[in-house]
Amino acid sequence: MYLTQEIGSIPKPKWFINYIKKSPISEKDFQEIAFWGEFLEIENYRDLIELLKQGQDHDGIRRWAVTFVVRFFEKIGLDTIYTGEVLRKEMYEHAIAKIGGFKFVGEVQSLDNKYYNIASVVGEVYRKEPIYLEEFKIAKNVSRKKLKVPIIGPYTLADWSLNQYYYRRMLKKASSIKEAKKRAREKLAFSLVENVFRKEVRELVENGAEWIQVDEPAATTHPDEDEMLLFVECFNELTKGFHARFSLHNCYSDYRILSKYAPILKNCYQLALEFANRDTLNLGKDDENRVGYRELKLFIENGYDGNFGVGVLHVLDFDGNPGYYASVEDRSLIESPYLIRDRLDYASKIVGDPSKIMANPDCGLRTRRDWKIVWKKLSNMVLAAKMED
Amino acid sequence: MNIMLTVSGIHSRSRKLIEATRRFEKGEINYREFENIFLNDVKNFVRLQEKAEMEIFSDGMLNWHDLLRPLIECVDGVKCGPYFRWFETNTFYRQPLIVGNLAVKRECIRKFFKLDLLPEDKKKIVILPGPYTCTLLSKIKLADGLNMFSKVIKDIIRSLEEFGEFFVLLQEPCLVYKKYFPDKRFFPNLKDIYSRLYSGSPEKYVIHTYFGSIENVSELLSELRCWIGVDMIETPYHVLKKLRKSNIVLGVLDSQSPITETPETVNLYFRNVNGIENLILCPNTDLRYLPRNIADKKVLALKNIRKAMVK
Repeated sequence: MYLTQEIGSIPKPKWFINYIKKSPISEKDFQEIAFWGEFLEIENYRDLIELLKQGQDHDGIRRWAVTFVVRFFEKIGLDTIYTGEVLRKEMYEHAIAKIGGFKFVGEVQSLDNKYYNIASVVGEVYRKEPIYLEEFKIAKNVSRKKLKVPIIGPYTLADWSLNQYYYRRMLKKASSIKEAKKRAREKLAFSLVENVFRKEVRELVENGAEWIQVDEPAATTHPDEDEMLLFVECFNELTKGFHARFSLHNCYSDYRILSKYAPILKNCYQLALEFANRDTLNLGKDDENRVGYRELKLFIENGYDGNFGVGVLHVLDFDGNPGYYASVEDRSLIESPYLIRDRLDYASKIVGDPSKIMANPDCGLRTRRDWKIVWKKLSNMVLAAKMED
Repeated sequence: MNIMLTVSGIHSRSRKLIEATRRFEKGEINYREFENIFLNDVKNFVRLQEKAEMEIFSDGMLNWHDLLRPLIECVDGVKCGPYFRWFETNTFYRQPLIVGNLAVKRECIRKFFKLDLLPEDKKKIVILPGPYTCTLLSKIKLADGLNMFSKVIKDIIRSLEEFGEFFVLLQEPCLVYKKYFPDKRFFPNLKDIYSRLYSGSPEKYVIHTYFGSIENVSELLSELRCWIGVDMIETPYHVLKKLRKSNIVLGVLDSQSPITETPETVNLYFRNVNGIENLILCPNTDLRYLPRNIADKKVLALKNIRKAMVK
């Protein structure tokens, strides 16, 4: 038996997207509310329909959006949940919009037809307003399960931004463009830790957050030792002195690099990693069939003795042959409970203690188009985790 | 010194094209509507190059999700693998998985190369991944991969010959990126592979390096008879000086900095390098890491940099 957790985002309900975009809420949207409201046994969900028709109680509608996601996860049976980041436009853009010193400059591609609105640093960075507090307060009020608050990490925020302001300053002092870039990234990352994220974490903890997941997808982007140490220092500085549980989520990354530095992450309860993307779809608990999970060994060999969030669900479009132990629906891979269970058992064998393993998707499931797909994927994960040996 | 201008990789997509890709994925527009917007974006990119007074024109590769994607979509025997990070950037590529004998699907190639939209009176450039980079990023044995991918690259080039003459720029970041440095003992094999690729026309081929300094491979690059592309953001002057080449491509624009280069900010020391007869100036690599408006400004900046050099 394994515990299960949400890792981040899921698709926003269509009715909520239309509400945010100020598009008309259609009959179909109301039907969607009614379907999920009934299915998830959400009390008084019809009040939401009335609120949407009136379109005035903005805070109320946002609370309903969180309620629907929280009940969705609860009903699936996940052990640790959050809001599916339903109130966030996108992980990067949500944070940047609430931090001073940044200016959005346009969209750039990240993968395939996925883009993000990139910002340039144009001045000293500072926290304009709370980034995650409102969302957390609603979730805490609504949820019956343990919560884990995902926040974007300062290192990733620094790495994904165009660092115009600090770069210009460093260019005057540095001996080369390369050095100026490096020093500018350091300056930005530490400024984000001190001026923004420690303040945010403090408020979250003071308001009752017990577990904060720091999302650092950029952690191994620059594999040089100096850069990796900068990432580690950002994490350690961010989490220092708080009485809360912290974990790290990192995906689509080089785990040969991360595994060397994981043991020096202080106050890191869990590493939540992406493996399903790299794995086969065959059953089996051996190295050959579980090729995607072999790098877990490196973390153990390098001395990391914390817990793992093991990515067992692929979250991106799938266009290959799903084989016998998965299926494809609407370009989404639906992994069977047997496949997921083999992945978990293999991971457990490497780590040597099943209680150190939690099952989760590789990354946020926001990439899937509708809740029915997300439901199937997560339900199979819960089923796999709870199977008797 | 003869100086020409060009681009060296995938250009940034416009807002309109980004929106169109989203709407197409959601089924809100059909392929024909999407293609019209895409082709219009290519035409805009051509106009930009005209404005920048470039000599060598590219189609901008605006429908390439990553550098290796045409190899996956247009080559039989290659399957789509997992996503991996593209060097030290926030972009990703799909790993090509070799599952059989490789054969180029010629009918598919047209989807990725829009040479027919480039001005007839201008030189053209076709940009492809080089065999060394293809091999390492596909994670297959070096000797096998180099041969296989060289043939595929040659085949793709052949299938484009109906569009007339063009330069071929082979992107080879793996040659200079620390993680993938080639062993010196392998230099003769690499030299042989490249020589066979450019065979009778080295003056039309560029082996373009970026994301690292050429220091570790300058010996190999010096021996190649084709053009050599150097990332000037990564390569120090003293290293460039050692590279004795008469035809050289210099990536002088930083594709990861939002600051538009000017003749004052680009160190023009390279004009003092002896032996260069023909020089091509370009961005160090793809400009897709920047939003379109910034990427466009950078392309236009090349014009002034050349002017300052000539002066």
